Amino acid sequence: MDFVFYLFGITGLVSAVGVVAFRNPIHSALALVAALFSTAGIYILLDAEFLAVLEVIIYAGAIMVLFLFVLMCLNIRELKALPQFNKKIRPFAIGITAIFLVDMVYLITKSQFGVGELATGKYTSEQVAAIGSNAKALGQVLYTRYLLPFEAISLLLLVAMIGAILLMKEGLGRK
Amino acid sequence: MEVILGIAIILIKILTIFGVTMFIAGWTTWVERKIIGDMQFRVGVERTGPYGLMQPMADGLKLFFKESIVPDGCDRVTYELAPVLALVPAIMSIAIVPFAGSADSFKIFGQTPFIAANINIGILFLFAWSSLSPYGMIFAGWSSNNKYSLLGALRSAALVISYEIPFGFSIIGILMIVGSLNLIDIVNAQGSYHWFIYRQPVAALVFFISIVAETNRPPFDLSEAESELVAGYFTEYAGMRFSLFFLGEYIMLFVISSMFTVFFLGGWHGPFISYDVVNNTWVQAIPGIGILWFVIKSYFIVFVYMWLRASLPRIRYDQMMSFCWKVLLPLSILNIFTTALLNLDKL
Amino acid sequence: MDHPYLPILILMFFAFIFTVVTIIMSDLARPSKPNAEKNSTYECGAPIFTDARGMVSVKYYIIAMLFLLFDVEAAFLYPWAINYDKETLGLFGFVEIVIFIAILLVGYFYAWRKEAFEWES
Repeated sequence: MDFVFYLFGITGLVSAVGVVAFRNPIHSALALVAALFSTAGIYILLDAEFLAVLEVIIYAGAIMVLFLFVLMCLNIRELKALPQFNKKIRPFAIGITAIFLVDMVYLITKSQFGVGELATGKYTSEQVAAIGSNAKALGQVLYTRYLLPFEAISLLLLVAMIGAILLMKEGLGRK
Repeated sequence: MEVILGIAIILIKILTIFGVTMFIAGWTTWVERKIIGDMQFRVGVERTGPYGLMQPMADGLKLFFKESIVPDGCDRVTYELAPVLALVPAIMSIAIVPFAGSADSFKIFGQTPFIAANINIGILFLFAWSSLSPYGMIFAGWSSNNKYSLLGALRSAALVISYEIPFGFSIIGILMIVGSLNLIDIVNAQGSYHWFIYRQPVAALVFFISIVAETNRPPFDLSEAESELVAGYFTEYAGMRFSLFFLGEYIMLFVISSMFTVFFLGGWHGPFISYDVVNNTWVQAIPGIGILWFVIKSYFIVFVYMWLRASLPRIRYDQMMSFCWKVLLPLSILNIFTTALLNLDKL
Repeated sequence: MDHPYLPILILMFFAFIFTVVTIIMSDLARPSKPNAEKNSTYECGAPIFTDARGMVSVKYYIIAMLFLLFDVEAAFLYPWAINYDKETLGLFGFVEIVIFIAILLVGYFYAWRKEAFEWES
């Protein structure tokens, strides 16, 4: 169990570093797929199989393919010619990273998600096993307790769809 | 020690299932050439071995010893990775193929005997791996720095992701009736003769068309249309690297046909399998007879694939895309509502 | 040892090792005599005049975007579909999903009207 956790953890971290370290955006995208995939592996270790599968289907399978298409819609050679990372951004980048680091350290050491007591609601692992499966238990919470966010998501998707089509039409019209 | 023994047992099981699938996939190429030969009044392969049966072996050996080239201007990392990314999802999807059912208590060395991994998310596991299959294509096409490759890769990636939508939507009706994602539950819900192809004919049609497109088979093989794109995304590949793409395609062909069997043709059910009321499970009168029915049914679907290839001309790309988005998608959504209304008594 | 995903992990190791070892073994066994003609990009014999990695049509982007949105929609339908019974969600869940799909169908018909599904526009 520990071995598998370290395996996915290390591949996840290494590929996450790869995402920012690679010069070629296509290689970065590949590394990001590996990072997302390792995260899915860790979800499985946490018995969150439905979440793990969705991580692969939505993030690795759909969003990254979209990224790749966008990278190919742009000419890769021209992307290389762009001026490298602007020096002025560096302080901001370091600042934001520091805030995230503090957040993470706080969450891991002090809060309930860390080594302390785990926050468990109605759906403990035993409860989920009794319901039958992860996906089933998720459905029972999602469509009752989180009804409003769920319906709001459909509006969000609608806006995204209309936005994408408008952008494309405008792009084609300008040509 | 116990850990090593446990892993060894699992490994033996996996190797058996993998070996069977590889055998089926390899000889599917022979079956394909024979069937299409027959349909076109030709003999097909006949030189290597009786009825040309050793042809797949000969092809494999030949490709193994063939030189493989690295084209100019190719991106080495993605070029070498693409065949791996094309084959691994196909091999991984073998894990959930339920060759036959058995009672929950029936285990050989603590392992479920006829399925590599009986997991709760079942079909979504296949979706997850098949959603990774565009990477093999895109990286192959992009890395080889060839116009045919890139066009073929983009075409097939866009085709595969488009048909994933009706593919995913078409099974929702069945999931509503069964109430589980687990493939064994889905097969057991159909019993011996209440196959979902009768209860969900529209879903079966949408599912079948989608899987033909998903596997890039004729008449949806525009990514590899030899008259315009040479060989599509693997134009620049040769030798073993090429054959890994090929192998992945044929493994996927069998796995995805077996999914049609699981969802619509009652899986391993057939004659000589009866329901044991006491233990609440399905019993095979002759041990392993379920595997036979399962492979026969799946292979029938593989045969339909070949039949389509021999009968239908290639479909134009824009027609393929608009057919998916304008016909199959509304049909599958309509199917969800129809199923919901027909099963209102469940609520 | 009876974790349901253990066979999958082992199969994953096996799949990667199998593919990589096959390639390496073939590389050791096969001849390798590259030359400039052999390595040149295949373009039906004509000399190559541009780089292959040019701009591609924005249509691919729109297809990927629509795919992403409908994929997310499908992901939300699975937990509902397996809970389609009296004990859990019932009619309430059904009405909820009807509203969810209806809102998305507005976007779908918008895309249809704006010819997002036409390749030749």
